[in-house]
Amino acid sequence: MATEVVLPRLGLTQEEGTILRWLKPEGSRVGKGEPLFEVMTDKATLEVEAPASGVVLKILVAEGGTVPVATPIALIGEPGDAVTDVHAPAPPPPSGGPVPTEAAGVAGAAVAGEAPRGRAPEGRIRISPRARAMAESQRIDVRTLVGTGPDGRIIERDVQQAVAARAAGAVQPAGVDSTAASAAPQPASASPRTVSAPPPRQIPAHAAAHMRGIIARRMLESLQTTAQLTLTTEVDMEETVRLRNEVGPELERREGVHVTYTDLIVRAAAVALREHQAINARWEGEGVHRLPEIHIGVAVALEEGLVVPVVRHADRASIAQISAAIRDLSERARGMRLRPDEMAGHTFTVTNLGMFDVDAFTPVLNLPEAAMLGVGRLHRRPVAAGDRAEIHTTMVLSLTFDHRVVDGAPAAQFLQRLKHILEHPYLLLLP
Amino acid sequence: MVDWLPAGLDPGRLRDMLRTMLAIRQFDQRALELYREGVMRGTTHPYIGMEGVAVGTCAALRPGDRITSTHRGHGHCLAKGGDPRLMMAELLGKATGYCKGKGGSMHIADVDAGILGANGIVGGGIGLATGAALAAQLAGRDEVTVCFFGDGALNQGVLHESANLAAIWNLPVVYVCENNQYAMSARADKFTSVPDPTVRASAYGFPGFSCDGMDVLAVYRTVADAVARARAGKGPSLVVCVTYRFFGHHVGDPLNYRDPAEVDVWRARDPIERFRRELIEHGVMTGEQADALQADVVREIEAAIAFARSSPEPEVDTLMEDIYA
Amino acid sequence: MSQPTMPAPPAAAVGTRTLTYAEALNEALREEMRRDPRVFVMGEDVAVWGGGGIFGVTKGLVEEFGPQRVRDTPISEEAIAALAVGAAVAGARPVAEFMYVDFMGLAMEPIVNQAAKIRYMFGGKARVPVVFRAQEGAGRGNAAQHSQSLEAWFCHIPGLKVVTPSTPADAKGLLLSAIRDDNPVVFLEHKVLYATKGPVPAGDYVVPLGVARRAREGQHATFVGIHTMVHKALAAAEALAGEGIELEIIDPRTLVPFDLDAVIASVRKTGRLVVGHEAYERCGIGAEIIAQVAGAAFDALDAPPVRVCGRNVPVPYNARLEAAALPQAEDIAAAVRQVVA
Repeated sequence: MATEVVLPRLGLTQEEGTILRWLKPEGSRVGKGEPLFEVMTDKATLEVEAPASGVVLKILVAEGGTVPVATPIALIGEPGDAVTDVHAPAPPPPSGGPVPTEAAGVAGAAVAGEAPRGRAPEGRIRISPRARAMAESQRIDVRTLVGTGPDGRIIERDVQQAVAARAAGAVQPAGVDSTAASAAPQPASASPRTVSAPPPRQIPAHAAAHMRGIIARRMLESLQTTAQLTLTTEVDMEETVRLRNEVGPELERREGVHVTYTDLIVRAAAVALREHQAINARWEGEGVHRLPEIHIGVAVALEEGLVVPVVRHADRASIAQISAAIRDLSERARGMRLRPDEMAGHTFTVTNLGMFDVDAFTPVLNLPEAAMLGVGRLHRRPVAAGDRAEIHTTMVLSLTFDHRVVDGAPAAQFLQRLKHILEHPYLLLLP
Repeated sequence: MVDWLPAGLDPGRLRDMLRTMLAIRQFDQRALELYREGVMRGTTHPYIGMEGVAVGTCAALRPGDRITSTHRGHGHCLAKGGDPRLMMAELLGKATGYCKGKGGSMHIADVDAGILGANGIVGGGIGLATGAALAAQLAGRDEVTVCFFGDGALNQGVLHESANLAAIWNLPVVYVCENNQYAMSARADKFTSVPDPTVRASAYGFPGFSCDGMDVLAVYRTVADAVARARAGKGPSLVVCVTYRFFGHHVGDPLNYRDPAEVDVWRARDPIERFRRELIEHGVMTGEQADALQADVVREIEAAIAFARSSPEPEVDTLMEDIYA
Repeated sequence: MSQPTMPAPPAAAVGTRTLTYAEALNEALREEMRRDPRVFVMGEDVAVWGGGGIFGVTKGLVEEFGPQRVRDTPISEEAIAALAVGAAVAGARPVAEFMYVDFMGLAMEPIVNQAAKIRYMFGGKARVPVVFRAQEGAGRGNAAQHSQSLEAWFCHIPGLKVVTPSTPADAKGLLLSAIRDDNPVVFLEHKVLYATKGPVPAGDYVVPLGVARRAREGQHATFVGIHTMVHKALAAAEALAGEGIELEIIDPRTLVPFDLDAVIASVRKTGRLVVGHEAYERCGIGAEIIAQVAGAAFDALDAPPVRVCGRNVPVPYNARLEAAALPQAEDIAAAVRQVVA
């Protein structure tokens, strides 16, 4: 898929810019980081670099045109990429308020360009009508797909898998995160909306290798392009354990949900993020972009790799709703049956390795988020309670954060608040 | 006059019968001309020369009785009270025709008037007529069904089956065989295993009668007897009317299988000429009255043609209508 | 597209009893003959033959309605059909029985050229409210001339309706609808189904023509089939469920008019279509169904549709050969596995 080039925000108060000159004409090839165009703002004339490598497929705003920040102005990709996904320009941000999130992504590399190894798109592609329709609607380039149907035909599940793999990686395709369409997690009693497919066969080696390759690339990119580091803190989980023991059976009886510690931690994180909005942000272009909605990804381990389904509006959801959503998403994630929109738009991620007896670790950021919480194991051990020793259940939280977006002190304060909420879990009642 | 006039007929009816015979001839004559003119499609099967059979038979029926007809059915339809305007319109494929333009010559029907359709399948009406008689019997209706068929249908299997059923069930049906002696090129005396088809009735145990199909009153008397039998619950009969079609089987018939001299012999026995003479001889009408009748018929048929010509074609979007009730 | 509307199979409703398929047909005939004096039955051995017809469908009818309304006929298939057509045009409502569908070849003229066309040819001014009943099917060693399924012949002719019930309840409900329909209906039963049992509501239980029934719900593939194929598919579905494959089964019940919407709704859900019939594969109804679905819902298909049909061979006498010539539950299961691969 083609990458959108948008007019970047080049200054804190800049609201629009004028394209003075295109330094690369339509049809020419440009490398990422090469100067692409000149723009004049209210303060200065600046050169802007290409956000991706490829061919300038289309110039959308001609020289002399003045447009608001975040307006798509060009498309970069490979010949043959779909060029239909041009979004309407986002409204200019209200002065002084938080910037809207509907800014077409600039920094991300496109999904296209990852042609499967050794496969040239020659001749006809064997693909079922249903799969082709789905690929079109999900903006997947069918040439990048590996077919696992009979005779190597690309079928529905291959498209679904490609979408899952795309979301499991760091970068979101442009324009996927649409706040207007999202809804709070379904009530606990709602049934999943997608239909599950038959239990998938063993994923063929080449498809698994493909997924691995994407994960590898994303992980490396995360570590290489961010300034991430990890803080840890130990949490006394006695109160949360008591809460779970008291409330859990009630919720099970009334709402049919089985509340886990991950559910409670996600809720706690949502509450804490609401109070520490600097964490719920991302690095974009040349500055920090705070995000008004809180969508928390929950990492699910698969045999072949990792997927991160997203609990949307985690701050607006009840514990029962979060629990139901995480269970449903996890089940479907394991069945490779997540929809693309269910793996997109996270602003924060929780990943739990406690079941493997890990205490603390250094989670790798799932770009473009600015922070990710690693959850360690719950175990009982002696702690100091006043001057006495008591046996308490404790747990270590490991918070990785991007130092470009937030500094150590605010990150530590967020983590401290999270610890506090878990040690005083009635605070989970906070909106 | 008393001896000659058959029971059940009066001078008025006799004049009507002549008029109908004239109408049939005029209708089919004009149909041939319309066909050559190119306004009629498919083909047409002229009844010319056989008018005595249709008219003599239908004169023996009541309005509630029914008939089934053949591919050569214009005469039957007119004799049973069909409207020549609606028939002409159907021949020209117009929406105002009996069948809304969807049937054509071979499928003209007016079920309410007891005309259960001309039929494009030889013998196709035989089972239908027998079934209609069955329905009448089941419902206890005083109704007789006449089945017209030709010498060509004498050898269709369905006649054997239907006749047998009519016999065992004592159905009120009269099988009227119009033996014009040719089924297309097949001569009846060569293709039917017996020289006189009436004997086949005895194979089913019901009576078979033969009569001169060129003598309308002879047809009337014979059929009236058979109808009376059926109406009295005595079951089916076969009436074989020996007749002749003056023209070919259909338009374009090469007629190489018939000797023109034979045609002349039969033309000399023209049923219309004969009946007209009889009526004049017996004082039922004068020659001038007969001519006036003819002129009237010509006008009527011309009016029918005018009606047909000026009628609209069916709309194409009526194509799929009336497939199902 | 909405799911097929289907009356749920009658459960423990008041007045629902277990009847055989033959008994259910018998009940329909009896009730309709009581309700409408114009209805009468004719066919070979429908009255006198002990038990009423060779499968008992007309049992007890001549005793109640008399030999006029329950008529034995000689062996005269063409006339049976032709008389039925004529009687229907003349105001009666005949139910004409053909002992085996294989014998209907003799009756094709009156059915195809008369019954199907009279209304249309006569410009809509006639009705032919006739039902032609017959039974189809193989599996009993009746060999080539007594084992066919010929529904495709009749489906081909505009002007006819074609009905194929697979359960006792549907047999009763559809026969009532067929008799009350003012059009010629070819009502095809299956010889192997006559003895099968099922719940049948008492009273005026009518199943409308042209509405399919979902016999089983599933998400992974759609099976469409008639008669014994419905039951074989249910057996296949059990085996497939153990493999994690949930098969949805649609019983069209009426072939003309066909409930295409029901099939399309199912295929949009599952993406995969298997069609089955006992009739010979070539030019069978399976081809028609697949063509219609592919035309209307091509982009819903995740795999090429598959047919599971009788082989293109006269039905043989020998038991193993006969079984090999006919589609079995294992064949359905294999086809489903093929389309979900």
